Amino acid sequence: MTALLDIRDLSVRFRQGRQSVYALDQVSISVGRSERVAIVGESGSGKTVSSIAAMRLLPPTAEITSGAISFDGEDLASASEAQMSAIRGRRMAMVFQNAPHSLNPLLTVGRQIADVHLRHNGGSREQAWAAAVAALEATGIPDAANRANLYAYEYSGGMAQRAMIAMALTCRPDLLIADEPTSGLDVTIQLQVLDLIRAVADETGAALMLITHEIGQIAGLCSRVVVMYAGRVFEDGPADLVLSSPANPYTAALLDCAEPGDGDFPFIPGRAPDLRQRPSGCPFAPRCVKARDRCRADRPEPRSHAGRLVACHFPEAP
Amino acid sequence: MSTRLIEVRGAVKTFALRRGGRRMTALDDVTVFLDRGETLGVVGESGSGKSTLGRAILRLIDLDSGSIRFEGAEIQAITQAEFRPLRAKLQMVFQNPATSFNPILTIEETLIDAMQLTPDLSRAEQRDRARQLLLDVELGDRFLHLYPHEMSGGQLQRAAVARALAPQPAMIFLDEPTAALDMSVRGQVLNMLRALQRKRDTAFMLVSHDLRVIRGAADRVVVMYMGQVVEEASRGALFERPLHPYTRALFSAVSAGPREHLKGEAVAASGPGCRLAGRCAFATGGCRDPQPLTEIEPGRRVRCWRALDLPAFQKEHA
Repeated sequence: MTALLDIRDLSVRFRQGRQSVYALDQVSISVGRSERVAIVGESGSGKTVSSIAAMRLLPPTAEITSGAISFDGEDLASASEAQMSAIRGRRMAMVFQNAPHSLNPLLTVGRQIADVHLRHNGGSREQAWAAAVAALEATGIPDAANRANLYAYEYSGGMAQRAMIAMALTCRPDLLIADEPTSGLDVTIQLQVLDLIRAVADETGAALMLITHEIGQIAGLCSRVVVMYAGRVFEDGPADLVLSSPANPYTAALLDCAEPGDGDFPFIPGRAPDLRQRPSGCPFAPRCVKARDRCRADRPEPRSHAGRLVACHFPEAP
Repeated sequence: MSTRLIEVRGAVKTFALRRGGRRMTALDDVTVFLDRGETLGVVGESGSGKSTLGRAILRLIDLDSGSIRFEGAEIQAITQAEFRPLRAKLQMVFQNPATSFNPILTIEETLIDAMQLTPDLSRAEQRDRARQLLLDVELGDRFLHLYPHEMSGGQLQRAAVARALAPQPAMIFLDEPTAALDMSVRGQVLNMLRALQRKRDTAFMLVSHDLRVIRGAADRVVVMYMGQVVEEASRGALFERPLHPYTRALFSAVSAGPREHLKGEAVAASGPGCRLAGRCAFATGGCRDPQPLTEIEPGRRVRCWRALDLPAFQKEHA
């Protein structure tokens, strides 16, 4: 069976003045039908660039230097804007971080959802409005019929994120991409939003690509996890396996940082990699406590190891 | 010299909301203290009043009523001119290091600038002290001549702590100091704060919504919800056994155990009862009565009449 979304050996470069920023370096990520995949990484890892590349929403300063993206067997790199418009929203929908700022401030929330519905499903304005209210209700917004008449600024952060999810789901997409859907939300609201995403994925059967820097959010929500660092895939495998026995030293260190104990707070020495340079070796080598000469000399490519893919010369034994 | 550095009693602060002339209560009869050389963690979500409390202590805002004593002297009722000499004693570190530095000053110039609050030092003494401050925050000499844009977020946040230490304060208020940092470098800042504390008698007031951060650096913890202190305990006691349902929900958000969710969102209180009752899974009729902050053992206070009768909080999956 072919994957629903298949990103293959994708490299993306951003122009920044006279310099180039190597944002993605031969990244391969696939998402199967109804599969739930988490993309985890820190700033500069390439997790967001991967998702906007899949939506073909890269800014003009970005250049795809190699690789292919296909959705349901269709090549997206060569698709026309018209073909992309038919896919975006309808078959592949995205929920962005900072929901209150991603909604249109000039239209009521109900109107925005109704517009999306009308565009992709046709029908009358009245039907579209009813669908918008039903979608808001389905995402747990109390008093949805009245709240549909409000503007984004009148929504709390958590409610705006629910509305974004409602909008993403109006067309029953095959793939829902959620880019840091809980960032900026209060922690008790984050749990509610993650529960909602789980519930709608259960109900609609949509595949999910969850982009997050909180590795702890994945457990119980995603079946597979892709760990990225410096624009590369570092580890890709079943979530329970990767979270309980990480093979890449970076994954292990990140998990430690996410669950500190009573002693010193765990951390990774050094700083995030400079993406203007492409090191000959492993990009994590300068910060890795296990790095040896070989790590600084040749770059490890992802290969099969203990039930997953790992890009490391010296992975942990399972 | 008494060990008590700061004592806030009955602090009340309301802000006008733009619509309908309503007011929101940011601080509702808050009483807390800070001892010399200790780190008090203040945890809560947006609207809990945690930042307002810090800003009131720094006289960045004035209270509606209540008193704040610094080294035994009232500082709430004095004029800004009278307060000015105390500025050196009460310093602050902001959330986003990238926007809290003057971009055209080197780190050395920034540190020397911050020393102007204290009596005259010779140029050579200022430079010596700047170098020593950078060593204290675990940055080397080479950072003296760097500009902010040449440094990573973690390095800049350490420089921000050095800047706060420059006028030799008695207390530093740290407002979400790690929220803008990647998970893997938070520990660099938090461990440095702990190490500083062993060497100096500067007190820290550390505000965060993330209990992991509080656990990494605080001696004592105050949990706030909707302008009220709902729990107060030593770090050990709080992390051993969180009592208030709100504290338990905050724990759930960052721990691997079964999740205790709160329903809905924080809304302004109606009636004299518990602010959390509408969201709390444990609420009963008795929660509509006023909930005093009750001392249940020395140094431990909780604002929930059922706290001791609730089933023990499960930190891990059984």
